[in-house]
Amino acid sequence: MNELLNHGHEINEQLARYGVKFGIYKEGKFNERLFPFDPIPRQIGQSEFQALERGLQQRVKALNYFIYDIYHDKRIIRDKAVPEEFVYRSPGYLAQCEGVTPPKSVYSHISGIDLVLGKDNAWYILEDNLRIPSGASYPLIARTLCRRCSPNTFQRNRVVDNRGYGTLLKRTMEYVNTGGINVIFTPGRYNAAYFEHSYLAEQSGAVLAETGDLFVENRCLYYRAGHDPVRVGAVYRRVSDEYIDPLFFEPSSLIGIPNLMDAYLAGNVAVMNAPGNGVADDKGIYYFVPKMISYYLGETPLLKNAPTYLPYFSSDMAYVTANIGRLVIKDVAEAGGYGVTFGENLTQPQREELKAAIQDNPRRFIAQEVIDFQDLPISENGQVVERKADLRAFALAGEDVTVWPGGLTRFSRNPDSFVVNSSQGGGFKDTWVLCQ
Amino acid sequence: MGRELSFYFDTKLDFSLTVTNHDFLLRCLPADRPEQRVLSYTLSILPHGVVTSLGEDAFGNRYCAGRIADSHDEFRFTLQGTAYRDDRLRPEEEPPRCYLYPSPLTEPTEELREFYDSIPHGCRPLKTAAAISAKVHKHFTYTPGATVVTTTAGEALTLSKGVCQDYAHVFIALCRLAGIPARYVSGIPVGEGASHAWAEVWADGLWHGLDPTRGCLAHEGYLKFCVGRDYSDCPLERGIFSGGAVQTQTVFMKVSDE
Repeated sequence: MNELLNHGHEINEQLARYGVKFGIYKEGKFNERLFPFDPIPRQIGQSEFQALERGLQQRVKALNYFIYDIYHDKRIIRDKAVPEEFVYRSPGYLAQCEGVTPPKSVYSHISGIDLVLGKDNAWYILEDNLRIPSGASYPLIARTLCRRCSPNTFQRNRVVDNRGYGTLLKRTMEYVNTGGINVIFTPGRYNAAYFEHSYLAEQSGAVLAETGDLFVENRCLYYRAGHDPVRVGAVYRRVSDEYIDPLFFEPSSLIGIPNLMDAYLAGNVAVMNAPGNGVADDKGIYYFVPKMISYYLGETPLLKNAPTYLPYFSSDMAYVTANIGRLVIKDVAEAGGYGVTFGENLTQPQREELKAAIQDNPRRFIAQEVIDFQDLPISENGQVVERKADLRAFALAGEDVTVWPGGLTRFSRNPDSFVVNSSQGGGFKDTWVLCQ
Repeated sequence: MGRELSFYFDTKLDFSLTVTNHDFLLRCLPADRPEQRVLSYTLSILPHGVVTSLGEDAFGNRYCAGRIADSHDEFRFTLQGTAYRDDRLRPEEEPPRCYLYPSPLTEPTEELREFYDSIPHGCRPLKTAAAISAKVHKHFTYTPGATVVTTTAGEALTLSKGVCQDYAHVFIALCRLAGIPARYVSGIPVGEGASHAWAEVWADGLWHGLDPTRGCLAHEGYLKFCVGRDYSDCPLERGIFSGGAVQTQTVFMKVSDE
């Protein structure tokens, strides 16, 4: 471990050389920032990981059933387990996907589930990221570099080797592939996660393509390779729904593939993750995930949600307005750590203003108890300090749901902050799953 | 009653410079639904030899998608055929509930809510819808050029001016406030020379057409192309190409009784 600590600076230098960067839009300007790596890993014991794995598999399965149900029979709405308003008013709901079934009925091929470890030693789910969750590449390359600096550390500590993420991703693509090559479709090098797109392509053996490299003809997607175009069977697109196809969706999009939806509707290409799956990663829908698990699987949820209130329900509204000073309020339409307000940081007039906004539009907000989650040790200027950290676990769905033994542990560099999103300036760590 | 209509549409795009890699998506095909059966049609596209495919989207619209890779300076599609309209024929299933909720161009604003409050409602859905249509028809001044295709219902109401698309959007937003499922329809009424937009509301197991622009019912003489929650779900024609050309569009359309 000390060996790794001594190599911290060197590993960060190498990460910079590899272009491990994170792009941030701030005040309308695009800036690339290095994503600082802390060499002290988060460690998860084997039995604890297995419990997490079972809980995540269960959750991702239920979410997938939910998305299928929403775009087909809508049983969960008819049975009044989820109010329809939460579905049809969700920004992730796509009416254009009504009745559409993706290849093998998989909607969320790669899910990034954010969790925190509470002081009570229980894991709490903070968010389900199902659209285009990024982050697997950072701990993946960091692990590779760390092993190079200090190969013995991993053997000595009996760390599960997780460098096969690329193979896992490849298997996930192959499972839904309709015949043709696998492609990772990136909006280009100005995207915040471009490093990730190129690295994952390299690791999974998929072709990295940008707009202009792909076209649709006769309801099939093709990659331009020299003279003869090659058919694409699965496209892991890193472009959000509204921009993936300028003819079916936002016409001003310059980063899409014209008529991609035509090929998708014809069943001739797997689009990963499936369009419209954002309906299940809505912050308002999050509240209902434990219900979905019992509804679709007939099981008791293995992982806990953070205690959440929906002002939409009048009893919750009363609680939220009475306790606003100690709750965290989230705007359901925002992502990436934006639109998150801690009641305790607000002045009295600001609290009143927020209350009024909630009363005005209850569907737009959720409120959560602030979870007192465990700090992790971080090395900072030669000293070890404690900081808030979360874990983004990656679950890949094919025939079964596989949880990657590792994950992205993000920490806040600000000692007073609970927000660990990389777009808010945090750093990351490797996550060790131990063999025992 | 039932009415047989014959149709002929011809759309021509002229490009000032040659273009390549031209992808297009056409939704200006007559809908083939229980209340409107397409009896026969032919579609021809210029330049010759263009690969096209027919598909159906989630709203039940038929579309023609295609691609012209080689350079060209003209694109033309011509459609002709006959259809049979009979509004007594029921759709097989209930429409999705998304028609009851705001869509990108019909998000209710404070002004829309106030306007809604000024309309007598609370009676039967069809009566309410008719009252809304009449009120929108009276309140708006038909003004080409005052709005664009991305103008929302809220913006159109503030202007109180617009074209058929705006009338339809405001009408739809208000119907949804009244709890009546409503959808946007693109098509062409008999005797008209250009495409038109109106709306349909769902009541008693049927879609009922209302035309707030003309302040009347959209009867069986209205030939339907495509439907959606609002215009953004079903534009009649979209294209994207390489080349800095300016395009000029010439449209000829005609629908008549057979």
